[in-house]
Amino acid sequence: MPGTTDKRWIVPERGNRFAMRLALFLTRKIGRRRLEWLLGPITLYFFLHNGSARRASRAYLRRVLQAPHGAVSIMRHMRSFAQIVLDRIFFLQNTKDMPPVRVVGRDRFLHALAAGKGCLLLGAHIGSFEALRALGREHAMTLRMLMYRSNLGGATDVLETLDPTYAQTIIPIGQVDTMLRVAESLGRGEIVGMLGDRTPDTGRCVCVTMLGGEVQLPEGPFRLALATGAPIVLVNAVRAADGVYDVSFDSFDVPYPSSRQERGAFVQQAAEHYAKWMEGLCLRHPFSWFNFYDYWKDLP
Amino acid sequence: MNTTRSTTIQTPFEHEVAERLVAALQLEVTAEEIVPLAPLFGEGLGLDSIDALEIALLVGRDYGVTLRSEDPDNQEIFSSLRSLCAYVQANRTAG
Repeated sequence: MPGTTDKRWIVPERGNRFAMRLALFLTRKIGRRRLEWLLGPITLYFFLHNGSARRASRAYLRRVLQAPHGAVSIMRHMRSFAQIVLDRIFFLQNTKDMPPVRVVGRDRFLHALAAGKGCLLLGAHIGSFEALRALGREHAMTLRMLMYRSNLGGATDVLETLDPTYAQTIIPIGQVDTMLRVAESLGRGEIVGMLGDRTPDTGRCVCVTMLGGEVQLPEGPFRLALATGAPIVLVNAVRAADGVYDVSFDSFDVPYPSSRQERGAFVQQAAEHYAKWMEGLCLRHPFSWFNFYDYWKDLP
Repeated sequence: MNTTRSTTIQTPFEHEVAERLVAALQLEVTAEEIVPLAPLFGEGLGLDSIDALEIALLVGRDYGVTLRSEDPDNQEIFSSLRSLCAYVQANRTAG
């Protein structure tokens, strides 16, 4: 069944080439900690100029904090995102000025890898996936990201100039043989990362409950796990109050079915498990959820 | 190569592959309903890239034909039942 059409998030990332180049220049000249004073004005700018993000943030915060929240909370939410974007530049540059990373549950990840089928690292737009790159380098592992490259706009082009290997580590979604590439990569024992919280415009979706409302999630990650047999490990990297990124691995406890007839039920169950995991993260780290669009279709 | 093949009627081999696809991908159509020249992906049967991977696994297992992501002809190979079968028949080593 072709899925629902959802083009809300497939728009070029905000921020143009000029702004990114300026940011790069500043990061090299000034350094990470001293640049953080910029986050205030940037947050204020986005708060004032991005009405849809502001409304989406308010709708989300109402769900997660279970109370109406005003401008201060929304700005805190946006500032937290601006911080992640800034830190991302430093993660990609791979210099000594990278934000520090702590790892929680490393054994769960290494245990999954030991099966020799590669590993599907499933994350969400919670915290920073880029922090994982630091970990991949540390372990000398190949981490590839499955993502919509063509929809990322100018900012990512510039980010690629920071890390020349960036393009090779991306498996672009949207070609007929995309998943063949993923399977080959897993077959070499590599790690394939993806974010499973946004639905593509043409993909098949599954409906689950999260934070008291229904949301659509893509079936893709779970069908991919079945097709390849690769284990899923859940991962997130939230920036803690001390500025350290807590990369944290959680095991994915939904067993893979043995027959094809059970696949539909597995996908539903897996998506529910994933949604529960996201919900738990949102409740623990309410300001680290970065889907600034009408995720629950709350808004008129 | 039979140049007079019907554009709408499956060859016996196409029928066999169609039956395996329907079973493996749990399609909601019958094997007979897959038009040999109709697109498999997007508009036609609505298959996606994960289905393409399932198809690759199937032809690897059943016919010993390995499909690879770096093959520049993938777009063509996966375009229809007929093109897929033509590729499999030209490259098969088993079954």
